[in-house]
Amino acid sequence: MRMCSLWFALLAAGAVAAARAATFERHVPADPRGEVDVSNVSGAIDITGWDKPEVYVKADTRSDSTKVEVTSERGHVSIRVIGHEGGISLFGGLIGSGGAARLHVEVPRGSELDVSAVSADVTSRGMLGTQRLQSVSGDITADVSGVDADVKSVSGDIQLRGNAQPGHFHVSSVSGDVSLQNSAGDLDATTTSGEISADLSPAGSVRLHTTSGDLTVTGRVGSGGTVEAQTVSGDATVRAGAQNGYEYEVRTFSGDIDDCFGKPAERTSRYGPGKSLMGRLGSGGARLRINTLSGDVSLCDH
Amino acid sequence: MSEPHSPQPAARKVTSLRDLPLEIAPPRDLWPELERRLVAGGAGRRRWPQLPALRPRYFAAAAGLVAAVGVGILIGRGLLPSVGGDIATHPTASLVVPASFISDPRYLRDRAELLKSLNARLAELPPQSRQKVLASLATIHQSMRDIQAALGREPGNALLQELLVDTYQDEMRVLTTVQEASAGSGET
Repeated sequence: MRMCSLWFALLAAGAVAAARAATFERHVPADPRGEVDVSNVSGAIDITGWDKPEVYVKADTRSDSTKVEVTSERGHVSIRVIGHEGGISLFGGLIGSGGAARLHVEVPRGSELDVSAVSADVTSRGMLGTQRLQSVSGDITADVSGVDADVKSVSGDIQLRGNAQPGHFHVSSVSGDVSLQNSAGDLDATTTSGEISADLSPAGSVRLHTTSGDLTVTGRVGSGGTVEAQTVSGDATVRAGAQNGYEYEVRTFSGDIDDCFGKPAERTSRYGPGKSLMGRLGSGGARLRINTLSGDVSLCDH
Repeated sequence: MSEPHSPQPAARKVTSLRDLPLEIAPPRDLWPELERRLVAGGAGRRRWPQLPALRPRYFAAAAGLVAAVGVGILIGRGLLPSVGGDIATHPTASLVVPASFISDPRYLRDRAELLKSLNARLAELPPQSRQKVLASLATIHQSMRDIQAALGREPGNALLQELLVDTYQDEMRVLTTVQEASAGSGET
């Protein structure tokens, strides 16, 4: 059944549909700046922003027992894949259990997006609203140009792609790798054993932390920006410059420090381990700080 | 070009702990004097005082002090949350390190609760994720031990203190993430 009639219905009217077919399609009206929740256990979630005030859902399910539930109410569209076992809680919300589907969803690009997955890979592109993306083991890939994003995984890798428009990005993983490309604005990224790679263009306030994963920072730091990179046993490599230079402060307890400034690291204690490297490039409008316990540090401005 | 900071202790304004120097070197090398005294002390070794010289009231005071400390330890063990005790029977018990250096009761309580439910939460994760979480927690706890060992040698090291606090925070973040992400407990 086509959903054209719903175009003229009130946004408050809910549209609930269930399908037991292998392929499911649905259109529902949506607020251009409303909220869209998507949840799926396994398979994939592929979300694209578009300019229509409606949400389109296409799902390829693996079994007849898998249902896709789509509701639209007061500017809030909810899409859930539910298996025969019912729903389960994840990241504080209710999502499907046992359901496996490949979801392709098109939403108004100004929507606020809230996505939860277990092993499903999540992809979003073309979105201008705030994104909240979470997964247990699925990978997350998202365009985050000029939007705020809160992205979290347990073991899935996270890849965020920007276009130099500033935003606020909060990224967290337990063991997944975190990659941020061509992103501007503020970034707070943490992973325990995964690696972090951040390409800044330019950065405002950046805080990166790993326990054992390596850290790599490239690109540019904005004037007055700050970069704080900390790892316990991972190596930290920084190849970042700033228009007016930056002050830098590098400290390691038992690692080595290498730089391209021709300045040797100094011992912090005459009788124990510890090295530090401090200095300033240019007028030093930005600030860069790197700490490690045993990881090596390599610092250069190009 | 690189322009190293030139320390100017007199004119330097200290606004945070980070501004303080990591080490204050003595104005002169103290080792020769220490060595001289040690050598001199070895030659004319000091005698321990004869027992009769110690008055009985000193023994009583020392015994009282030991008893008070012992009673305090017993009371403390009964009152304070036991982080490791609750999970001692869990397979993940080997991963747990006591939260030394941290005394905030709310933190200790929250951490103990998260650790207590860790096994149940882990069981709800996909097997591959579960193994990765366990490996990450093991990494965190090994890091805690490494930092604590280093702090044992350099208790005043600000870098180590900062790394330890951040590592504890990372552990809480992982435990909270597992708590949030675990599926199944809310089955309808």
